[in-house]
Amino acid sequence: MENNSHKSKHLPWPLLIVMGLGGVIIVALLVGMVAINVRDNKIVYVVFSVIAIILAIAVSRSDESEDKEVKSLLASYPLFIIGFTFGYIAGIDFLTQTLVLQFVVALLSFALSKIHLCRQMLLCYASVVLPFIFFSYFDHLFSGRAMKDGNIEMSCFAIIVAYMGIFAATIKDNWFASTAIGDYLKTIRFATAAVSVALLWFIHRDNTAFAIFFAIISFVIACILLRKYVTGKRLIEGYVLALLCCASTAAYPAMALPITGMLLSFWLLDYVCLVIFSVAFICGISFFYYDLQMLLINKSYLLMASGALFLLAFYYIKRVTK
Amino acid sequence: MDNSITLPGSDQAKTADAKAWLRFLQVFTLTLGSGLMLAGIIFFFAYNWELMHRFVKLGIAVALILAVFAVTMTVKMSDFTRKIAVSVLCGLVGVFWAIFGQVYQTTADSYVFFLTWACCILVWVYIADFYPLWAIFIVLVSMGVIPLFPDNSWFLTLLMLYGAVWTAFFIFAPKYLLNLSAPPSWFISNMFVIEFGMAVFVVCLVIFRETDMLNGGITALNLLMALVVTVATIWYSLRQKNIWLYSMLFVGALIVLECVFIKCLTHEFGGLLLHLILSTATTIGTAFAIAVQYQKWKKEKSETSTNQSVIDNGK
Repeated sequence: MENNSHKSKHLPWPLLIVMGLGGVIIVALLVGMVAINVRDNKIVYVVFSVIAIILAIAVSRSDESEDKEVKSLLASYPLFIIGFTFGYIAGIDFLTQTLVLQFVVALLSFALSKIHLCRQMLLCYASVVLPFIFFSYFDHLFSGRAMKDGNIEMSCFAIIVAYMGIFAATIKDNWFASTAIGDYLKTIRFATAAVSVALLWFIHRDNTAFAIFFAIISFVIACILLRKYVTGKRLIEGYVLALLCCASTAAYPAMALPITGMLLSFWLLDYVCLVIFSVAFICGISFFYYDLQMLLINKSYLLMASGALFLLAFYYIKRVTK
Repeated sequence: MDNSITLPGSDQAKTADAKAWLRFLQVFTLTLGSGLMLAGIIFFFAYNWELMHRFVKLGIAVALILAVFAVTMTVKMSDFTRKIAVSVLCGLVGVFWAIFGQVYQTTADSYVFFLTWACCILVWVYIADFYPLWAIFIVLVSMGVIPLFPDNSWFLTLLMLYGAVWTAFFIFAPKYLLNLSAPPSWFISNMFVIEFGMAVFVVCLVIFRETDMLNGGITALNLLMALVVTVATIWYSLRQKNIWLYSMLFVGALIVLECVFIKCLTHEFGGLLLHLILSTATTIGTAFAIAVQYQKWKKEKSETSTNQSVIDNGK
């Protein structure tokens, strides 16, 4: 499939803010107008939803020059939101099926649309909707019991593994070069990183299986990189250091995943995702020390000792690389 | 470790090489190590805080201030690092006053604390000439001064006047004061945005609060101040060709118009339809106005830079 999407390179982000704000106001008014007249008639919502999405795709496929992109965006962006909102309202009683449909429609719209910004938003939307499908399937979309359900935890685990797999696959950008998503690897990485970090919230802090899984992944990545750049005796020292570091993250899931993410992000020089995973890592390490069942004075000794170890590692790396 | 080159014919475009990974490891271990060490030291003092004599508590704060001051004055460092060190120094002054207030149970109002802190660091802030530090200083002074404003109809007028004074100071003072460089565009833009935001808030409040119409004089004064602020913002955005500020003007106008529509139009089908048509027209008009202006300024800037490079090549 050709990538002939119009790239929104020349649209300044203040303009995008104005369009976003205006679009939300227009959508809210339209939904309110329809709701007043139609009330519980779900068929009307379905019809409006289909029409809005078809119109949005048609507008975003119009073969205009880049100068006319503002016009196309102004029309297609509110139409997409209207279409998806009416879709939700129509299918609120069958939420799981509705969310699956929304996911499929988002991907289809991405494939058919040609405006770069619209496609980015549709990709992000699809990646956010997927976890909600599982949440609604286990009847926890609007309840507070989500965090206590083992099914939710398993689903989140599976989604995180899948998303991190997609994230890692973007290293080989030539695989995607001739596909529709070739120009959207950064968007995919951002969406998968953000959703994975958000889903960490539903992984129990004592889920060592999760932590060990990602610690092993981090160790494998570290080994691949060490074999690529290090030879001789230093390679064995590198393996030992990597093993110690990765093993230490195996105690806590909220540390293990961010470390994997940080390694992958830096490998790809994706600094936005690096920031996301770094913040998640800082939160994870803070929660880890907070959850330790020991006196504050012992925690302070442990923190100072950990700090000293990392500073020693810093000096060791500086020494061997001179 | 060997230095490595990206593999020839590699299908991994734009990935980190050996040097980048080394740098990453160094920054990671240094940041994590110093962060954990600092946290450990803070927790150690936190655990023993109640047992420590008040002179020891104050002594630690003063010792830190003196140590950072000595490092700033004696150690060779880049200009930027020195400014960061002065910022840390200013933060430690706040820590000292907080400990002082706790030790001697001064029961001072919080605005006294912020004003004291601000007064103590004024000279350092001026000498450092570091605009992020100026921003923190303004916040401190505001937290000390704004609670002193009378809580009546004059509050909003005084607030806008206060903001206008700061903005005017940073626009005009660098021309007359030594050691005060011209502020960066992000600084002045954000000051204008905050000031303009207050003006929009005032107008929306006047639209919704009918009781204010009883104090006609004060309402008129508030609206006049809002108008002056708006005109100043338009003047600055056009003069500096600042698309961010220019766009914020339209965002403010959009918000005010929405308030008018909500107040004046009914919430039935006809009213909502009219509201929808007007909002759509406003949004489209706004978007086009910003897009056109942006293209115009972008063209002017590229022409200016082309002419400049031709002149430089000629030299």
